[in-house]
Amino acid sequence: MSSQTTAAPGSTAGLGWTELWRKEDWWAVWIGLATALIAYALFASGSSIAWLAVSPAKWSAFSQLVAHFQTNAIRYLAQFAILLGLFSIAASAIGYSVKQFVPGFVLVYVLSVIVFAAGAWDKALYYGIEPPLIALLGGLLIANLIGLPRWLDAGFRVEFYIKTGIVLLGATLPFTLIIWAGPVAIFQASIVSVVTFVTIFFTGRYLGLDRRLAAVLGAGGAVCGVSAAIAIAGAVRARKEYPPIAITLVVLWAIVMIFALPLVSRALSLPAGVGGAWIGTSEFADAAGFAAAQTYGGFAAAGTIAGTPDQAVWTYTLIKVVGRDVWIGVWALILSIIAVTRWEVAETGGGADIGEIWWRFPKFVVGFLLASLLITFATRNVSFADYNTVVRPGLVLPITTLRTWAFTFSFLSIGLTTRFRDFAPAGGKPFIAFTAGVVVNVVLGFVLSVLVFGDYWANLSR
Amino acid sequence: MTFWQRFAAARAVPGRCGACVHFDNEAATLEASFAAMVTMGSGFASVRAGDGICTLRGVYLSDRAGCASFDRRPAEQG
Repeated sequence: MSSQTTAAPGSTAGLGWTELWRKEDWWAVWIGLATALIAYALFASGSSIAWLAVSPAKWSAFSQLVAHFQTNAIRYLAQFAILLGLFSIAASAIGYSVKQFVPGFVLVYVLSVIVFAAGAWDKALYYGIEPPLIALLGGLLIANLIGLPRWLDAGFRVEFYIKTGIVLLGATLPFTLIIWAGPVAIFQASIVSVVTFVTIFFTGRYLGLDRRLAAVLGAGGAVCGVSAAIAIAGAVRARKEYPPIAITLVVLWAIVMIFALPLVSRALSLPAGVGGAWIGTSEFADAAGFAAAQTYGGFAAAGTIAGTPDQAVWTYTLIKVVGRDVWIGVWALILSIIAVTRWEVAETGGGADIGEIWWRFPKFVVGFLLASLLITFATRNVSFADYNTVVRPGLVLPITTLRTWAFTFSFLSIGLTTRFRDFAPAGGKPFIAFTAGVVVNVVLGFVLSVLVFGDYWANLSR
Repeated sequence: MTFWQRFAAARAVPGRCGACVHFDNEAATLEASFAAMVTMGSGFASVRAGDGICTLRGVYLSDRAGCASFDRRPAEQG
């Protein structure tokens, strides 16, 4: 046996500082922050990134749409080339296959143009065409009815796109709002997370599930979906068959919630901020929740509910990202301590480490906070009137458009990678345990978002 | 055993999984192993840290875990 050792590829021990360019979270930070910085630099010099942040304008006749693309073809080409270049560089550094990433991204971009164009039709709302839902449904249909070569999945990076979009979202969310509403979001999310976890865990145990499987399911339902299930599986040393069970249940319920939560919220005429808060409390995965929150914001844009599109996305983000996602490391630490001191019998060792909190911290949140801080600081002396007439059109809206592109890539990728035949069979008992958590999560989320903090979330604004 | 004795005992392992020949934490391998993981997750995400699969025990665990069956991975050449 050699006296030298090598850390396993991708190990925390082996990555060290290289994590800064080998994890997709950090690349989302770099791309998002660089975009925000460039946007601000152009804005400060009297120009704007708006030229690059092109998307279809409202149209009523197809000829208008064609004319828009003819007029702006060079802008779309430039946007596509820059996004392809940035994402390809990141893909190469992270370790995706660039050769396979590029054609996948090309398809995602082309489909996104179609989704954007459909959403910009002036009758879109009349026919219920909400771009996030169209992206998701279109992707699902293509993946499950037509079928695509599996190697194209290299370009369907749901998490990478949504994280990049979240960092860009930070640039449009006032930092003061995070400071002001963050504690309430954390309080509300923590209550629901703990109750949901306990419900799933003890229902699972009552049904006879292994405690590690019950913990993995509980984290998937309570914290941040698939990411949490995977993280907790590692922390508690779960059987390798357990994460796919949790993934199946999280994805299926998350897709149901993408459609159900906005529709029920609209039926109840919940204001945009309240609906966003409920979605943030009761959706499971970030990307799925953004699809639902953006859809609900679309209802506000159309005037069918009170509030603004921003409010739905902001309250969702505060509760889901600030209130739930950032605590995954703490959950992992606590459960790993329980696993090694109460559940472990001597099969494996290695203890638990306080470093879990940082190692597992979703680093894109760092970029989200920095982007918010940067733009808030840069515009701190701007009056409300100037903000609306100068800063918003020249800086905030172009970044919002770029964020919407990133989100659309992600929503499409959810659909394109969801092949129902690939799902691991979850089994009746895990399904019952997880579903019990879903019910508690949705009801408690409604009580807190609507009945307890409803006024607070409804009036959240800049 | 008390809590602290169990905690200390758990830390006493001959080597960490991250350096073990039985351990595989390549992100692409994990994405291929866990069906539908990429739909709403990622093997390349920070939250996964260095977790991977122990091919000996069939367990998914941290690269900082370890066990008595630890078998040091030889240094990569080149």
